[in-house]
Amino acid sequence: MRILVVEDNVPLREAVSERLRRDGFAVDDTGDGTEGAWLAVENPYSLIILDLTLPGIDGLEILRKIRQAKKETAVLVATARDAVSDRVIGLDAGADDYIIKPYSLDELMARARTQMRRLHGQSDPIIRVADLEVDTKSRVARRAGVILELTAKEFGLLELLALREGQVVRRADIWEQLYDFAEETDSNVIDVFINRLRKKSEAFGGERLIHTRRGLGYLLYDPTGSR
Amino acid sequence: MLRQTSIRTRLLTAIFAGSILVIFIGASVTYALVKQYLYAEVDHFLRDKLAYQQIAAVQNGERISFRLSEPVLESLRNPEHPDFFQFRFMDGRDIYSSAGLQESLPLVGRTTEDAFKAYDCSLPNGRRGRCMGMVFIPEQFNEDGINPSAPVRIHLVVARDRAEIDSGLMRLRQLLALMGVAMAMFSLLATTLIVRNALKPMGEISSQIESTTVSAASSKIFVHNPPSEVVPVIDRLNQLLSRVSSAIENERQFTANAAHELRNPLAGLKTQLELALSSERNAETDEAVMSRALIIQEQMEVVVSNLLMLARLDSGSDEFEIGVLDPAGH
Repeated sequence: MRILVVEDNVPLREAVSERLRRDGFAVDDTGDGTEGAWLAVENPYSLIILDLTLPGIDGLEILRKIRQAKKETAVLVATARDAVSDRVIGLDAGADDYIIKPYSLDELMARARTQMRRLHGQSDPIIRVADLEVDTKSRVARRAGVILELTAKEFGLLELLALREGQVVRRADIWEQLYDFAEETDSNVIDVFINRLRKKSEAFGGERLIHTRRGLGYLLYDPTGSR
Repeated sequence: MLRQTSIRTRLLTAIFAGSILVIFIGASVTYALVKQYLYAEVDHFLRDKLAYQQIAAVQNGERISFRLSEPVLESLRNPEHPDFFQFRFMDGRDIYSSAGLQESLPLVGRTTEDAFKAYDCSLPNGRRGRCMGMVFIPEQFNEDGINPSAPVRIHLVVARDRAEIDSGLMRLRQLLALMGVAMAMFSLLATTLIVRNALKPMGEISSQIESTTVSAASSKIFVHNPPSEVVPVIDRLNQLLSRVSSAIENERQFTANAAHELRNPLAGLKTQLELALSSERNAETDEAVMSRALIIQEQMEVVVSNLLMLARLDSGSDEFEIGVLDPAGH
């Protein structure tokens, strides 16, 4: 899952981005409004964490540009403006949620996860496919009750596939959602991660859940049809 | 401690005192005019009597006769009659007096200047009266039309009892006093109502100001159909409320801005510390976090200094100079 952080306060931006990366998200960040607007419109982010007071283009203007571009990205406005009128303006401009500074990182992450689940039509933080459980809240995956030892990137990939259960996810989409601009990667790395995920998830038996559609991409589904 | 007197009390006192004064003066003038008129009527009556008697007296030799009408005769004979006549020679000897006179009437009208001049006098019966006198020479007459004797000068004094007039005047005084009291009471009642009605807008203004809260300082004072004197007061108060509201709004805005400016570095500090606590720590990471915390603290110090300077500029306790900068640095 790829997230954009637009925040001009450097220590705050760094802390938020680091926390997101640690939880397995691909993160792009910027402190400039103009660059933030361009990134938001041109890239398929799952979530944008947006400050309102920014140099260059104001946060509300970025929000309007995102909605004008018909992007369905979830937008979480994180600002120090706490007046009810400010919240109303922000939500009316197209924000999905609103958090007031100074906020806790845990609360921010919870709100971020909620918005990303909502984006994919999931309300339960635990996504279940056959005997596989993907806990988006505690960032843990289990197969038949056994915890899978996954890296942050591997969990991110599994979460992406689980959120789009039954849908083919293109390699390009996976690559866009797992890696930010700063990361230099080989295009084969997606295949490597898929193989690792299969090995780890099938280590204790059970049906294969991650399937390949040649020339299209990958999908997660239960071939037996049971849940 | 100064004793504060309300406008209502002052207006009531002033208007009531003025009304009393006007009523008193009006009553006094009315009484004086009526009295003057009645006395003038009496004086006119006395003057007619004198004139008539002057015509009615005839001297024939040593004999002086008076042609008196029946009413005059009645008045002369009746001791209870309010009119009195006294005919005297110039040496004071009495010729003829009204029956009711036990003592002489005052010696008035003995000179030309004093003739027909009315005086207040005490009558022999002890009552107060008006009297007037004159000296005349009777018509000289005998059968030949020639009077052999020297003309005799007769001093005539007529008087009239004032008891009836004084009694009327007394009733008039009582009536005027009664009317004055009634008018004063009515005036007090009317003044109270008028003053209360006139000061009603002040009461409305007072209650509206009392009910105006800090959060509603932008509300306006409104008085229905106010007197023209109160309109400028309401306008000034509304202008004052508008300025107070503006100042409060500025204060709110300043506080909101201050909170906003401080929340950003606080958020940075909080998330940095949270991240550090949830990460694996060693001396190197701790030092990095502490360095970042120190930088944030310095940023906050700058924000607070700027806010304090803004507050001082707002209150006018600080000054700054505006000058022209040379971009070339010369």
